[in-house]
Parts: sequence; C-alpha cells; structure tokens
Amino acid sequence: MVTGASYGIGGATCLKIARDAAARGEKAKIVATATGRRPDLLELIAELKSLGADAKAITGDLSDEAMPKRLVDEAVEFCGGLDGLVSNAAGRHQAPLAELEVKDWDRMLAINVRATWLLGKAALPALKASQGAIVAVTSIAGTFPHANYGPYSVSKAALICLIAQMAQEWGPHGVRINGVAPGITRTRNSEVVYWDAEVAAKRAAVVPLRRVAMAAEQAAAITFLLSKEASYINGQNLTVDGGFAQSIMAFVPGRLPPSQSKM
Amino acid sequence: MRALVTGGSYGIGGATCLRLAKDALARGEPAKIVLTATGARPDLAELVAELKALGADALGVTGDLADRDFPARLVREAVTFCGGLDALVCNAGARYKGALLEMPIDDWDRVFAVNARATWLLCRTAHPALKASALNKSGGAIVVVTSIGGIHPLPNYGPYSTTKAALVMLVEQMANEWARDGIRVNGVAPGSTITREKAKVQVDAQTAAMRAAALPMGRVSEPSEQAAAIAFLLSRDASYINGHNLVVDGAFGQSVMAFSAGSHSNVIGRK
Repeated sequence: MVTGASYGIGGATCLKIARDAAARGEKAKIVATATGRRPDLLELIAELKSLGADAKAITGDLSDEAMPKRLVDEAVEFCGGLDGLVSNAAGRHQAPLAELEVKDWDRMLAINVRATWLLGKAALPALKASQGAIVAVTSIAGTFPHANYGPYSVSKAALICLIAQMAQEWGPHGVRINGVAPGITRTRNSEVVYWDAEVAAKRAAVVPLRRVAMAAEQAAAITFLLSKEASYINGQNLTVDGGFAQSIMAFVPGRLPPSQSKM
Repeated sequence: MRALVTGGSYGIGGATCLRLAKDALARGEPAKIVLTATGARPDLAELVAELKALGADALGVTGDLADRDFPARLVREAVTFCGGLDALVCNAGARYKGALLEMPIDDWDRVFAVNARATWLLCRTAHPALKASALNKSGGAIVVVTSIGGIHPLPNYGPYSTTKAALVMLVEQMANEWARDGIRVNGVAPGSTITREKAKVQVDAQTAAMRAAALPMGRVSEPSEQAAAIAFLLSRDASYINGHNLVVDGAFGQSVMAFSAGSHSNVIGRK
C-alpha cells in the first residue's frame, strides 16, 4: 500500500514494486491512495495493470482521523494481507511562522505525522503476519528547517522520531520501519519549476552531484528498505539527496568550492 | 564488477567480496576482486579460494594499512589486477582495548592511521580509476564501513569511536569533493554483527542470549546483512545517495531510553 500516489515519488514507488515483482515472476498487488483531486491516480492504476499488477485506487483525506484505518482495511482486504506500507503522502503549506494559522498547523501535523502513526497502527497486525516493513517518506527538511513553509520541517522532524519510535516498539515483532529523506526531486508536481531552464540549471548546480533526483531514484531507495536486502536496517532515515544537505560550507562566500579542487 | 575490499576475513569484508562476486556473475558480468588483510589469520587465502570456486578472479594481498605507503601500493596493485576499478570498500578497521587515561600515544596514532588516514589514502589513490569507471553510468562508488561506535562512544576501546566519528565526516567530505567526478561515497555503520572471529569468542550461550535480548530485533546481524547494504550503496539503485552513513543496527543505536531503570519502554520493547 502506497499513499500519495501521483506521478511523483509515490507513483514511481508503485511502478518499481510492480516491475520488480513481474521480473521475479510474481504478481504485485498494490493499493495506491491519493486525495483524488488530480487525474494522476487513475492513470497510474492503468499503467500498473498494464505491467501485470493487480492495482486499486482509493481516495481519501489523511487529515481525517478515521481515514488511515479505513484505507489500510481496504488495502488488506484487496491484497489479502500486506507486506509493505509506504507512507508517502504529505501536505505542503507556504506561510511564515509569524503569520501561520493554527488550523493550518494542525492540518499539516495531522497529515504528515499523525496519519503515518495511524496507518502503521492499523497495518501492524497484517505486517506482523507477513514480517513486513514500513517506509515513511520524510525529507531533508526534517533535519534542516525550510523557512516560510509553515510547520513542514517541524512535521518531518517529528516523523523521523516517530519512525525511530515505531522501530523500537515494533522491531521485537519483526516489523521494520525506516524513512527515506529525499532531497530536490523532479516530479510531475514540481515539473513546472524546471520549465525555466535557468532555474533548472541553478537547482542542479547547488547539488554536489550536479543534478536533481529523478523520482525513480527515491523509489529505488524505498523498495530497497522494504526488501529482505535491508533485513537488519530498522529505525533509520536514509537520505537520498546527492549530498546536498551536507554541502552548506560550500555556500560560504570566499571558500574554495568543491569544483575548484585540484584533483 | 572490479572491486577492492580491505579487511578480507570471514566477517563483513568477506561477506561483501562473496556478495559482489555472486551478483556480478549472476548478471553475466566478470567479477574481479582484490581483497586484503594483515595476514595474521588464514581467512584471506580461504576466501580467495572460495571466490575462485565461484568463478571470480580474485587476488589476496597482505599488508599493514597503518604503513603510510601501503594504501597507494595496494590500490595500484588492484587497478593493475582488475584492469581498472568500479568499487572500493574500505572495511578494514583496527580495534583497541584500553582506557583513554592509560593509552600510549603510539597506540592512538596507530588506530587513527588504520581507521581514518588509510581510508583517505585508499580513496585518494583510487580516485582516477573510479572516475573512469562506468559503474554509475559515469563514475564508480566507494563504501566505507564505519560503526555505530562513530555515533555513540565506546568507552575503554581507546580511540576507536573517535576514529569512526572522523571517518563518518571523511565520507561526507569526500562525497562533497568528488561528486562532480561522478564518484559517490557512502558509509555503512554496522551494529553488533557475528563474524567468524567473534563466533569463536562467544562460546558462552548465556552471554550470547543476553546480548541478543538487549537488541530491539532480538538478534545480532549476520555479515551478509551488512554486505547487502554495502552492495546496495555501490549499485545503480543508489544513484542519488551520496555522503550518507547508513546505519544497519536493527535500531539498537536508538534504544538508549529502554535502558533507563523502570522505564516503560523497557517493559514494552523487550519481550
């Protein structure tokens, strides 16, 4: 089950799961959820089916406290159990803290943190039965604050600790919980930013790897953490940012930038 | 896959050699692996034989990574044997038992030389070969085996934790300096892992059981689980992961609150 399944990280994750299963000669069963405000979800389901997967779309608002359990129950029924839960859906909000409204704070924390707890809680019996795994999509903004995006960074920091706590509480049951923290990633949602070639070039230039991530690269990290390959990785937040979050010292004027090293 | 793996005994280093060889051969690619150890244990020759039996080209080299000339010599031998280099796994590490109060300066220097300086010298010498590799479309990859000891201090193990903390930062700095060359640099930080050497020591079943019970997942890790994380970080699936220290400890490093006496998390978490 993957939440936030538009053509971004969530969609890429669904596609990767479907392709990997097909390559192993297995049939993937995937439930993808979104708010339903965009046409992406149905388009994604059609593509998943064309890859040979059983796929179902469910829409709902994760800020509603009853929704996470309802989604999980439907997913468990459709799939006949659950091996993996990807809590990818997140709310965004642009507002400086000085002007942020309480209702917007509450809504963001409900989607970005509370829903992941409730999804995990509802999925735990099925995941215990399968010795499955959870991956929550965090953000490098959970470690470094994103000014003027309301409580986005605060919610992601809380999510990182929630992952660690669930890992402590559910690890003894054989259920692993980890995070993937994407850096700057090109998705259909952010595509418009890259239409301006100058902005696109500037974005690529600030990353040590000199390019932004493709959604598929985030999906590869997520599916790795869901897999048996990651059987002893628990409670971690895997940063997939091309080294960007560690590069602050390169932005100090007058310092030798990495591109001028002598090697 | 052309790889150099240091610390090639039957632990994380050996499991990594076997994993990289098996993966490459399964893809129908040749596997050329150079592995190194001090030569104090028989594991190296045994591992080379096992790798050859799998169908890999393998070369064992012995030497002391505390020697300031050995890292460069080793890399040059590896590049010659493999005809280039796609991956470098800096796994060798020196352990030390002793309190900071009593430790001689020479011992401090030696542990730092093996754990931190050798990694820098290995990576620096391997830089041109890795830059020329096509493993990541353009550029190869480095994985450095750090330790959760680099995040949480290990008292009475001399400068071990301090060297590993330095190593974590070295990984980040190399990632920043060499990203433009297409070379990714990441760390894997193992928690308790049962290696052949440790298996010999842990004969006391009660101690082993107590150790496992202290871990959130109720067991220590197998070297193959560390090798799987290393192989992932070297692979194209990790193409945007750079400068990360991936902790593979079953959440042990985060479990300190469970050890406070009378803590509720102690009751719930450790059944």
